Amino acid sequence: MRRRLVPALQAAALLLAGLFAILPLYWMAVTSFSRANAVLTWPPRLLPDLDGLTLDAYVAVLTGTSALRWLANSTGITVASILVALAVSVPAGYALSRSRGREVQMLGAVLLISKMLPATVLLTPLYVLARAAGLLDQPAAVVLGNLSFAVPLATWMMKEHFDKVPVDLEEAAWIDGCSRLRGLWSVMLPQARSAMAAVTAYVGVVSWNDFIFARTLLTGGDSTTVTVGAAMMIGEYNIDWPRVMALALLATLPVLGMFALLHRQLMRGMSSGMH
Amino acid sequence: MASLPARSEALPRRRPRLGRQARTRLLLTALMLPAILCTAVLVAWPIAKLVQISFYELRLAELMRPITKPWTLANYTAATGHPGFVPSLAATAVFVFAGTAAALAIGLATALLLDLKLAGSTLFQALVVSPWSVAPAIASLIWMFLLNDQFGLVNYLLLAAGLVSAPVPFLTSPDVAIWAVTFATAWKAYPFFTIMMLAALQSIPHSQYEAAMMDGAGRIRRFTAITLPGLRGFLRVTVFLGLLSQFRNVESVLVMTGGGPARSTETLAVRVYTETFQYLSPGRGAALGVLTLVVAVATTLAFLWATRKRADI
Amino acid sequence: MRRSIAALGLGLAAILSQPLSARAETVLDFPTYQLEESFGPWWRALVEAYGQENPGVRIKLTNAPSNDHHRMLTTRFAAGNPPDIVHMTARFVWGYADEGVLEPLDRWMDKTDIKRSWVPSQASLSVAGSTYGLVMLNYGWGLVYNEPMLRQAGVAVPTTEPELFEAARKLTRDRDADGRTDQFGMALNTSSSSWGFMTFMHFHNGRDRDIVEGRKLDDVAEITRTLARIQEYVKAGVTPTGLDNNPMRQLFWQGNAAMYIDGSWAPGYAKRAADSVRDGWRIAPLPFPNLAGGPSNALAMPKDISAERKELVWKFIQMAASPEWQRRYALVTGNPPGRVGSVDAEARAKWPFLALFEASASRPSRSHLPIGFENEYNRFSSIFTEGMTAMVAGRLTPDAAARQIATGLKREIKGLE
Repeated sequence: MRRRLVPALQAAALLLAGLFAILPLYWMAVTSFSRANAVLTWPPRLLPDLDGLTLDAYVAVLTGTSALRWLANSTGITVASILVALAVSVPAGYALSRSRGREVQMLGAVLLISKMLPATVLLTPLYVLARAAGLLDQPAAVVLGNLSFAVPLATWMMKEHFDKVPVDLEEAAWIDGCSRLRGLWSVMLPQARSAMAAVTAYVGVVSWNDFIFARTLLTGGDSTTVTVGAAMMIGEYNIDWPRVMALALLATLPVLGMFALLHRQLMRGMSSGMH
Repeated sequence: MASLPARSEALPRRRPRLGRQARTRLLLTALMLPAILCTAVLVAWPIAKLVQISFYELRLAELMRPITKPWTLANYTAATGHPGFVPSLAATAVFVFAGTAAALAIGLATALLLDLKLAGSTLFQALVVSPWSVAPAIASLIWMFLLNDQFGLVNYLLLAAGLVSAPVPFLTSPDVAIWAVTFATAWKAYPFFTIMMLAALQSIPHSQYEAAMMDGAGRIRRFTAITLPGLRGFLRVTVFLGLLSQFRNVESVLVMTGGGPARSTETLAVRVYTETFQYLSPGRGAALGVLTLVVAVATTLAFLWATRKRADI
Repeated sequence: MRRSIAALGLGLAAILSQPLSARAETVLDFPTYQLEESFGPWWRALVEAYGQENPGVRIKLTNAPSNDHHRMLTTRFAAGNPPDIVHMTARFVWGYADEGVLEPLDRWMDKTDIKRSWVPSQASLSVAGSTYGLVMLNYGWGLVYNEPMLRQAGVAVPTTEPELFEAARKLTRDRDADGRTDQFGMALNTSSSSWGFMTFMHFHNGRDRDIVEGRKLDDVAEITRTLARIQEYVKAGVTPTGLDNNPMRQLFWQGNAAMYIDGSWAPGYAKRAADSVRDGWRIAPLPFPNLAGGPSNALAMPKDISAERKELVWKFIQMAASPEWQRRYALVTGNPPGRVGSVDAEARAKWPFLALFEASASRPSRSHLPIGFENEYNRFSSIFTEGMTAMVAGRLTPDAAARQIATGLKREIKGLE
């Protein structure tokens, strides 16, 4: 009796866990394909009325709002954050892993501080900075905000990676007459592909998901990002939930895709610094 | 860089030993420079500026001009003397600790389930960790809809199951809202624990379990004697990272409640925002920011000290 | 790999560099929160007409939901990066004037008839002899109700506050008998947006009391009395608790509430109403002897823009204030415009309730603003709704809430007695 009961319970629990994870996402998707009035009825329909499904919300969001512009802004900010984070963190991570000085401990401390700093704490100073640099309402300002978190983290990830690459490998290159820099470029960089992928995935997700920097450093309207744009739709008279959820789904798909592709690398980023 | 001037062409391929160390140091420093610059400008300077602002009573418009006013502690006394300050500490504690605890509980449970490798585990693993890919702001929008007291799914399920007799005003009651927001963030946060715990579980050698089974240890005994000790190191790191991440989280509150109702969901980090940008007192916001920083550093040090054996993060 | 990086870089450059419309064209930035509402068509038409009259000048009209709009205005002012044409809820004018970010309009306005021809509340936008905005709309209130619901329940349109309460009670029903109220008699905003404060002011002004008089806060006993009355609506279950503005409207226009209080823009929502409400809504005068009056929204000019731009912005404000565009305002939006006497027969025929709002806007009224402390409106309304929300949730008695509000206000606002 017990022998059959335990596996059954286990399976039921697993099913429940899966439901808990997926139900909110399912509800987002179903709502986004419903008509505005249909979602305000009681009781809610757990299984959607198939004939009532419609793309209206998507059409309305894509043609009636600046959603495409927001998605483009998010993409631009994300790509720029990744590129700068890589450009800065790869050399720095390498240098740190080859130094024996106090700078390594310093980096550890900076990383720790940046990991526990709520963005709101940096917001006012970064706001002053962006204003002074004439970057307010420019996507670059949000990139700076993202980098305040991404650079220490990415540098640490790269350092941890280079720590594992034996020095012999480089030395062989030096003996062949490579300069140290050239050694870094042609020997170490190819070695670091997986770590760079991890940085890319991680910084990418963090930047795409940013809300607070974009909300404060950009002026809304066309210039904002998709996360802020979606939240802005809550402020409208008559919250049109299908549209909100349609935009939410559009904002989630790229990350979901990245997640599926770079699952393993993301885990690495999480364990070394989770957002 | 300048490590190989053209003149050295004539020299033997091997570089002269003299000066090599100095040159290496120079090169390494140069490689670090962009990162140092970034952290100086984007982390160190903002913190310094924050501390400075916290000592002046400024209007928002005065932030951009040179400060001419005398310095004062008024922001600190106003921020800590405000009747909402202690409640906001309490809200922070609920949000951070209960949020992490819930995420840990769900994460550990799902990891244990996935570790059983039942049929369809791979599919379930993908499902179970999928909330992680949703942006906090977007997850908050979804939960706002789910928790609505007029037509929300959660209230419907609770009513249908007979657990409540009237819809719960999750996000509009000052008694419930902080718990509702905390739970919603736990949904988004738990997959991290699932993945970390699953990795930990899989690192426990199977032979240990087999040995214990031969000794006649039951399920529970095996869990307490082998699984838990095996998880301990991972748990410490994971919980620590989870706490930090939850402490940083402001999006969830800002999107779901904006700090309301009746400022009942204003965690410290959110309060920094509302004081600055809603009530237009950047000085008071900065004072709260400095306090937030102090709380974070103190908690971190305390945690590292309490678990100092292998503080490898 | 390298090629894909180059491609990424190019794409990035394309996205990050603003589309350089580097023609010799001046662009005036004009964000507003009214585009989605009934005012949208009028603003769009005005902007287009302005563009035709002023070649080489283009107005970039963008939409932002009200809350985000005012938050954004604040940060843009602080950064010295304001929009060229500032449109805002009038209660923010004093705060911004106080921050010194608005340009006084008198040197232009005094050359026109505006000050003579405008609704009385225009005068309230003057601070220390300088005028900081042009009132676009004066508050005119009405009780929006669902006629079939009232008829079915045998309830007459209330004309006094006690009647309002009784009607709300009778109209609160469980239509499908599942033990859950699905038709509320009244939708009241008691939540923590600034409109929760407005609900309080409807009842407080409605009792013919101002919240501040002569720099002195009204008696705690009086605040208690108003709060206690609101609490009775909540206790009787005639309104859901914790409604913000938009859900409040949604509840009515989706056919789940029988009555609510709204301004002259209310008819604009009928278009998107549920079928059952679209023909059944009516508006009656508010059943209070006195009303919460004052300016609703205003146009203003930022200080931090060039002199040439200021001239262009004034041209726009002047055009908006012209008799022709004020006439169209009434006709297109159905709201009583700022220029007195702009409502013509055509507008009256098109908007059956316009006369009611006109009457409401010109009725003698109290002010929904803390007079003398208008610049502290944000803290004022926030402390108020904080106390009120706690009361509605059952945490505080009306008396304790009133005392908490009075103490909080006096602590935070200098000079308030």
